[in-house]
Amino acid sequence: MSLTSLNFGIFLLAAVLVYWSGDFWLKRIFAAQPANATRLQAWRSGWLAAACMAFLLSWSIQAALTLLVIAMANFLLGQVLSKEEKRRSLVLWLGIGFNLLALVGLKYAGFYLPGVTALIKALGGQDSGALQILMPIGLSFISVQMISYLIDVYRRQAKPETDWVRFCIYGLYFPKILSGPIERARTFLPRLANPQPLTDQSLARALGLIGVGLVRKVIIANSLYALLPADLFVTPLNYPAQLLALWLAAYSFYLYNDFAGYSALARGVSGLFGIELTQNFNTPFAAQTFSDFWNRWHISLSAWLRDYIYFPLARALRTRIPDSEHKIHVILPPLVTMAVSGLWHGVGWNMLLWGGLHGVYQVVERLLNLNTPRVAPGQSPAKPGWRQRLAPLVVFVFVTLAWIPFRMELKPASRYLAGLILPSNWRMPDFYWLKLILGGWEQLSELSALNLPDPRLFVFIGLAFWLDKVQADRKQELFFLEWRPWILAAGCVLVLVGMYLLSFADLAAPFVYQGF
Amino acid sequence: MNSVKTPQTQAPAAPIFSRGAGLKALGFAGRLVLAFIGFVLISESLVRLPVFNAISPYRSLGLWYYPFDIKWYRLEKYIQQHGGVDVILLGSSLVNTGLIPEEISQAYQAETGTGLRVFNFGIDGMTIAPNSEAAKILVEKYQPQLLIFVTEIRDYDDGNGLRVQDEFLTNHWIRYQMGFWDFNGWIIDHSRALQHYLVYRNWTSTQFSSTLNAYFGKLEDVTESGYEPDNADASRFDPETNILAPFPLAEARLANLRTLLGLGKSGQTQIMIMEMPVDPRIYQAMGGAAAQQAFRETVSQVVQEGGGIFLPADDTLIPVSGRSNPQHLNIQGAPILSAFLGKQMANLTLQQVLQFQNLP
Repeated sequence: MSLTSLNFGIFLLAAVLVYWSGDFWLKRIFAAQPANATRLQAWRSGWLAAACMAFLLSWSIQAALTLLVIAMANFLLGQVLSKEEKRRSLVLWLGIGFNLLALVGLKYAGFYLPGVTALIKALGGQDSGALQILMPIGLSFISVQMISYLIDVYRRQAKPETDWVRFCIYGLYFPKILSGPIERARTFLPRLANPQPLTDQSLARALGLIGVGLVRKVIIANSLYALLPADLFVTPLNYPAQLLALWLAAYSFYLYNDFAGYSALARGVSGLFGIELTQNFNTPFAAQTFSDFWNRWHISLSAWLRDYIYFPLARALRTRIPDSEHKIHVILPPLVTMAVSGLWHGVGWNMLLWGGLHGVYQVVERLLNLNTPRVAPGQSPAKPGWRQRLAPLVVFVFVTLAWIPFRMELKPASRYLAGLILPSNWRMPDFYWLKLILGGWEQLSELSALNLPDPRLFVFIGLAFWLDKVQADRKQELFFLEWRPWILAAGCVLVLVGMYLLSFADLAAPFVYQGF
Repeated sequence: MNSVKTPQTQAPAAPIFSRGAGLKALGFAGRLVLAFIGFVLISESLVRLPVFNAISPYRSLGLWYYPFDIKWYRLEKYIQQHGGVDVILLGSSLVNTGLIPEEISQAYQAETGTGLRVFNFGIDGMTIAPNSEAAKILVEKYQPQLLIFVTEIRDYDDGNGLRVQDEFLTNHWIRYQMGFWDFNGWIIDHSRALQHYLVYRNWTSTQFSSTLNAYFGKLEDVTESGYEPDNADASRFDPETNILAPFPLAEARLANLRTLLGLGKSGQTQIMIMEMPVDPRIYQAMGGAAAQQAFRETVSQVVQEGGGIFLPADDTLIPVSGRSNPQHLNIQGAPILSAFLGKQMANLTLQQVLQFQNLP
C-alpha cells in the first residue's frame, strides 16, 4: 500500500478509529468502568502492532517476516546488553554486525549474487534460480534505527525496552517504515508509551501535515517527474546545456518535494495516533552553508551520522592526533561521514562520489572559514546582505550538481556533466520556428525541440518555492492553519480537486527513497 | 521552525471526542462541503457559457485512445443537428476511411425514395472485442434502427489490437457504461466541466503537445458524419507486404460477434454484419481462396444463428486504384463501397428483410 493510495486511506481510517475507541471496546469486553490505563495502553499497542504487520504484509510476506525477525533479534540483544557486564562491548559489536550483515546481505544482493552464482557454477554446481534475495522495504531505515538503539543502550543513554510489542512497533512503525524519519529509541519509545490525546488542535495539525505531504508529493513531485524526458538520464547529450541545467534543477525540486512530502505524510499519519515523529526537512534550499544544508535535509539521517559516525571518529582522531590545529580534524570526519551516507543510499561508485562530493563541499567550507572569528552559540556571524542572499543559491547549485552521480551511474553521469559544461552544447533557441508556431503556422511538438525551456516546469518549481518561502518567512510549517476558516476550506477544496484532476493523467512516480 | 503557534488568546485544545471539538469539526466539514458545492456550481456554469465553448469546445471521456472521444462527440453533435440517427456504422479503420455516410444515404434514397441518417463510428485499431462493448453503449444510448459492423479476418486474431482493447475496457467511463460501478466513470458521465478538462488531462506530460496536436489534427480530418478521408494513392500499393500469417479464428472473438448479434434480440435495433472487401492476395499464406471462403462461411453461420443479416464481400468491387493498402480504401474506393452498401440496404428494405420506421 502506498501512502497516497485510496486503499491506505481506508486502512488508516479503520486503524485510527479502532485505536481511539479502545475505551469503548474495553468497557464492553471487560465490563470495566472506565478501562484502566494499562489495559488501554495494551489495547493500543496491540492494535498498532497489528496495523504495522498488516501494512507490511500488504507489500510482501517475506518483507514482514524478515523485518519482524530483525526487530525481535535486536530486542533480545538489547535485553542481553542491559544484563551483560563483562562482555557488553562484544555483544554490542555482535549486534551491529548482525544489523550490518542483514543490511548488506539483503540490500546489496544484486551486487554480490552474480559473483556467488558464477562461483557455484565454476565449482560444478547448477544455478537453479533459487539464489534470489528480495530486499524488504524499509530495510535501510530499520537497520540504522536498531544500531542506534543498541549503541544508546550500551552507552546507557537509553533504557532497554522490556515490552516486545512496543519494541516491534518501534522497528516496524508503518508511517515511517518506507522512508523514515529515523527515530531514536530514547525519544520514540517514551512517546509510544504515552501517546498524546487527540485534540482538535492535534487533529488539525496532523491533517495539515498530511495536506502538505500530499501537495508536495502528488501535486509538485509527481508533476515535475512527469515533465522530465524519459531518456534524460540515459542519453543526456541529446539535449542542449540550458535544458540539462533546468531539468537538473527541476529534478532537485522533485527529489526534495517527493521525500519531504513523504516525511510530512508520515508525521501527519503518526499524529493521528498521538505519536509525534521527528521533523525531517526544514526548508533545505534556504541553507546558507553546506553544513546548514545537512541540518535541514533528511535531518534524522544527518543526526544519526553525526552521533554515530562523525563524533566518534572526531573523538578517536583527537585521541590519536591531539594537535587540534591539525587539518586532519577538519578534513577526515566530514569526508568519511558523507562517504558512509553515500554508501547507505546505495552501493556503487556513483553513490560514493555523491557522498564524497558533499564531504568535499563541507571540507572546503571549513577550510575557508578557519580564520573566521568564532561567534557565540545561537548567533550567526555577520555577513553582508548580498552574501546572505547569494549563499543559498551557491549551496543549491552545488547540491544540485551532486545529484548527477546520485541519479546516474558514472558513465551517463559524466555525459550529463559534459553536456552541461561543453560550450558547444549551449545551443541558441530556435526563435524562427517559435515565431511560426505562435503565429499559428506550424504545430508545436515540444519546446525542447526549439532548445527552449518548458514553462510548465516553472509552475511547479514556483509552487514549491512559494511553499518553502512562506514556511521560512513565517517560521511556520503549517502557516495555512491560521487562515480564516472559509479561506482554508476553499484552499482545501482546491488542493483536493487539483489532486483528483491530476490523477487522471499517467503520472505515477515512485517514492525515490522507498528502495532504501 | 515551530509547527503550530499557540498564541495566548487561542482556546485550549479540546479532546476530539468532546462536544466542543465535535462541533468545530462539523463546522469545518460543513464549510468544506459548501465550498465544494460552490466550486462545482461555478465550474459547471462556466463551461456552459458560449464564450467558453468558443475558446475550447472540445470534450473527452478520458479514454487513452482519443479517436473514440472524437467519434463520440461528433455523433452527439450529429444527433443534435439531425434529431437522431438511423444507421450507425461500426468497425475499425477499415470503416473509418472506407465508408461515406452521405454516399450510403444517397444510394439508398435513389432506390427507395427515402434518405437515411447515417453515422460512421469506425475507429482505428478497434477490433471486434472492444467494438462489441461499444456497440452495446451506442445501441442503449441512441437506439439506431440499424447497426452495421464491418468485419474482416484480423478481427478474429486474438493477438490483434490488444493494447487498444485493454485500454478501452479498463477505462473508467466505459466500465461505468458497461454496468460496473465506477466512481470516476460516474463523475465523467455527469460532469461537463470534467469532460472539458480531460482533453488537457496530460498537461503535465512531456508528450502533451504532440498528443494534443494529433487529437486536433484528427478532429479536423473527421467529417461531421464521422468519415475520415484517406488521401493515400495506390501507387505504393503492394499486396505482398500485407500477406497474413496463418492463425486460427479465436473462439473468444467469435463470442464477441455473438454478443454483438445479441443486441438485435430486443427488436429495437437490427444488426448487419458486412464483410470488408479486401485484396484476396492477403490470404495467400493461409490457403488462398479456400481460407477466405472458410472464414466467410464461419462468420455467415454465426450471424445466421444470431439472427443477424450477413452481407458478404464482393471481391471484384474495388479496383486497385481505390485502395491505399490491401485492406483499406482511399478517397476513390470509399464512394464505391458506400454506394454498394447503400444499394444493398435498399434491396434488403424492398425485400422487407430490413425495416426502417418513421424516417424523417
